[in-house]
Amino acid sequence: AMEEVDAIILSTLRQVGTDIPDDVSSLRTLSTESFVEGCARCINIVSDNDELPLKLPAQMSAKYRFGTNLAQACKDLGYGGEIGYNTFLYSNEADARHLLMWLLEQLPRTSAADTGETMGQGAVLQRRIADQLRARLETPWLPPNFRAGNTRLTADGGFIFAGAKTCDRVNTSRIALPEAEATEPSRKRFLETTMRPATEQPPLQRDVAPSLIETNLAEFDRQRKWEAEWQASGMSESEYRASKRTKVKASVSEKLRTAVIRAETQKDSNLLAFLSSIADEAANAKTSSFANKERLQFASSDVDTVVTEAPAATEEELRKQREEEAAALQAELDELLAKLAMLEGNIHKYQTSTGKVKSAAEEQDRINSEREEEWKLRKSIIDMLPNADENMAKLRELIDTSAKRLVTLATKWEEVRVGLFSKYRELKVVAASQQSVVQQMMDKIKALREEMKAVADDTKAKELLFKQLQADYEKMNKDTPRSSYTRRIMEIVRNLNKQKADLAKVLTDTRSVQKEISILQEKLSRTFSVTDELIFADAKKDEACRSAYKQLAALHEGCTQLINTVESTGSIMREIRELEEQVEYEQRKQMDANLQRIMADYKQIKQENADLVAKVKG
Amino acid sequence: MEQLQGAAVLEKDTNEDVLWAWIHPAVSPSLRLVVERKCGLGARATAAVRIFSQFRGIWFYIVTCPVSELPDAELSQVEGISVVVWSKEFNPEQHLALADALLHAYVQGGNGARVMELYVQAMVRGAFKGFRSADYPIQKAYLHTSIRNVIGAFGVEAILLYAAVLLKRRIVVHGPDTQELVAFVRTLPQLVISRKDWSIAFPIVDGLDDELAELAKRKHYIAGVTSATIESREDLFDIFVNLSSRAITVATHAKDDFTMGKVHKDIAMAMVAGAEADTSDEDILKDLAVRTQGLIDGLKGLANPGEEASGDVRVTLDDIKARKMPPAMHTFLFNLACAENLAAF
Repeated sequence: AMEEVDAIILSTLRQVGTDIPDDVSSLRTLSTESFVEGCARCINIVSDNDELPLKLPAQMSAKYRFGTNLAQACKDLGYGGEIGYNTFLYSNEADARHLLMWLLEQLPRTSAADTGETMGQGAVLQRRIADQLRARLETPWLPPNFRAGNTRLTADGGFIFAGAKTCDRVNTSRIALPEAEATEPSRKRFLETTMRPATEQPPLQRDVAPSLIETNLAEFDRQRKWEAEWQASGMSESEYRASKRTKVKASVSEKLRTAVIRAETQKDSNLLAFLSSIADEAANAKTSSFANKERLQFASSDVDTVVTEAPAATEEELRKQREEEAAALQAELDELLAKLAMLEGNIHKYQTSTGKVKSAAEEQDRINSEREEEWKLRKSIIDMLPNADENMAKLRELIDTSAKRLVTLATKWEEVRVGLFSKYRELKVVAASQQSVVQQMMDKIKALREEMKAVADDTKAKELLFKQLQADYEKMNKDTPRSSYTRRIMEIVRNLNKQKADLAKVLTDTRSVQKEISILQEKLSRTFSVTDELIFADAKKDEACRSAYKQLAALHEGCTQLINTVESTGSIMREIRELEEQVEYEQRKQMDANLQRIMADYKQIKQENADLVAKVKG
Repeated sequence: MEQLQGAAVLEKDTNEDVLWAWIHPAVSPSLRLVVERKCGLGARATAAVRIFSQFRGIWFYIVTCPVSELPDAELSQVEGISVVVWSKEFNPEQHLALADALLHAYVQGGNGARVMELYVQAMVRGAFKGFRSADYPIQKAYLHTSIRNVIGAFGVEAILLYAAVLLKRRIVVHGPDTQELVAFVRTLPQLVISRKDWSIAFPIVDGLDDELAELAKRKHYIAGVTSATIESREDLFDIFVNLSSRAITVATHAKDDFTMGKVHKDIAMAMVAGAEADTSDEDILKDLAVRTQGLIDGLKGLANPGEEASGDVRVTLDDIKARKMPPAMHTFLFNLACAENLAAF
């Protein structure tokens, strides 16, 4: 049984990271270094810090201190047994096992939370997320310059992405975009051959994305502004475009025209010729008189420049002329407006009267057609009047024949109809029965579908459970299979039971012996008292009897002494056995060997001290 | 019976399908729809129906009978049967009798050709074996139902009905029972019997759009409606009669036209007295007709004497107002003038 306990202890120690050679299979062969390391690791885990060093130092005095520290830590954690530096430095098997078992019991049970309850897929995912987050939190942050790219190695040999690869200043450059409706051949050629793609236009590759984003945003903003402007105008898109174009053109030509006038006044003939050619073109002027007028207008409005050269009389004249013209035009406009209003009124009048006339005409048409019908009827009657009787007979005959024809037709149709009706009804019945069959099948299908769904759900749930169990299984430690633990526990339990039965047997034996003893004692006392009375009674009369009585008393006393002796012998035997056990226990502690080691260590310390003294003196 | 427009046989079979077994000649789908709604075959259990009404100027007479009530029926897979007769004439008894005859002819063997033959005979000769149109004169049709019942049911309030018919207003009658409704609606034109105008009666109207639209086109009618929701449609009536609660309501927009005066009171009292006394229906109607004629003559008397000479009597509102009368009477008389086509503006 001890081997099994040792195996469990050793595997657990290996699990927490202790370096134990593979050939060590029991605590007897466990080296002091490994034992100390295992204890230190366990204490570190239990007290949740990394205070204790894991390796024994080389110097003897340091070793001593280390052992004392370990012992103190164990005491702090609540170890109840006897413990001191010797427990670690001069360990014996039993103490070591006792201490290790206690320490392992203190270890936090990491797997406790994982067992029992089942978890859904979400919980599994959440656990994975939590693991990831923990891993990330555990890795300290490093500035980008200290990292290779954006990857970080983790303690378990994997890697995670952390932060950006590099930090760059955002730089954008203008990107030229081809317009969709390029019609000029040269422009087209440029777009097709010379223009570089958008991704190649920025001088640095890393500027491509910000440049594209900026260009796109700018275009978006421009379009939005334009749309807002257009919608505020209340015109249709093409209309607004056209109006804007003319507006821009007008403002350009206006600018040019002022420039022309300025040039004229300054007698700059070359510039004048050039500007006037453009201005004419821009204004799209068709009549020279209009252009003239415009020019005059501009000349007058641009008084400052004109005044320096033109005489005042001309200006007066011009104003007069303009006023006259304006008055004439106004008059003409008024006249036209009046005419328009009149015509509109007329149109309205005619429209209403047209409607009236139309409805009247329709009414008349209807009356006409009615009267026509009536007239036809009357005419045929009047036509027949001269030969009234004959015609009446003829008509009656006509009616009779048509009635007969109708009836024959009806009879013929009736045959067809009856057949069709009965066929229709039969089919309807068949359809109804089919419908019911179909309905039944549909019900069946529905039931099957539901069953399928239930089974699928069940399967899904089971799969989920399976996956989760598998994950749990993978998480579980494979070094110490549960079954071996179980087996060992079962064996121990069996042993315990056997021992318990043995104990019970011994107990009953003891009890029966005790019972026997008490029976015998009682019998003895009774026998003695009876004998005592008999002999005492006779002893008054008979001398021999008196001596016999004395003998009896002596005998009785002797027997009591004997019994006492036997009892004390038993207790001494017990004591001896206990002492023997103690001796065995002490012997197990390898006192001799330990004493030798202690002596050696003592000498080493002495030597070290001497060396130190020499060093100090030297 | 030259005014006949057509006849049809509808069958309801065991599959609950309503089929037009025979129809002669072709009849417009809207007319067929109206008949199919009212024939009673659409209901789960077929009940006997004898009703008539008109739609777009054509009267239809429907006789429906469950086959189980026809002992001599020789029809397979048929549960109920309806015969419809369309005509431009109002004469319920005549046409329902024709429909009965056609129904019995059809039931014996389910032969549509036989129905057709009889229908043609009725149209051409007005009679065939078992049916004679001459047995049902129009005068009898007018007086088939009793005005006494109407007056008895509503008492003095019946004067509202009289006024509405006289002034050519719109009356909507609501009642749960179709037969009662039909009988009531067809009786009301008797109130002004001198006009002999039964084209204003629409004994059964479904509260559906097609039939209500027909009503809305007219200015004067008496319509029997089964749907109670019609009471909320004040745009469709001036007077609303509820047969089950025996109540007459005047629409708010027509309140002014139905302010009653002394003349009305006299007529109402006479009507009630006539209905309670042991006089015949005809006497009641005769008395009413005399009073009506008196009103009209009085109205004519108000006309400007100068215009009377021309033979075309016209009364203006001013003529009426010239007489000393309460204002309500002015309105009534002018409305009457309008109704009798005597008004001038």
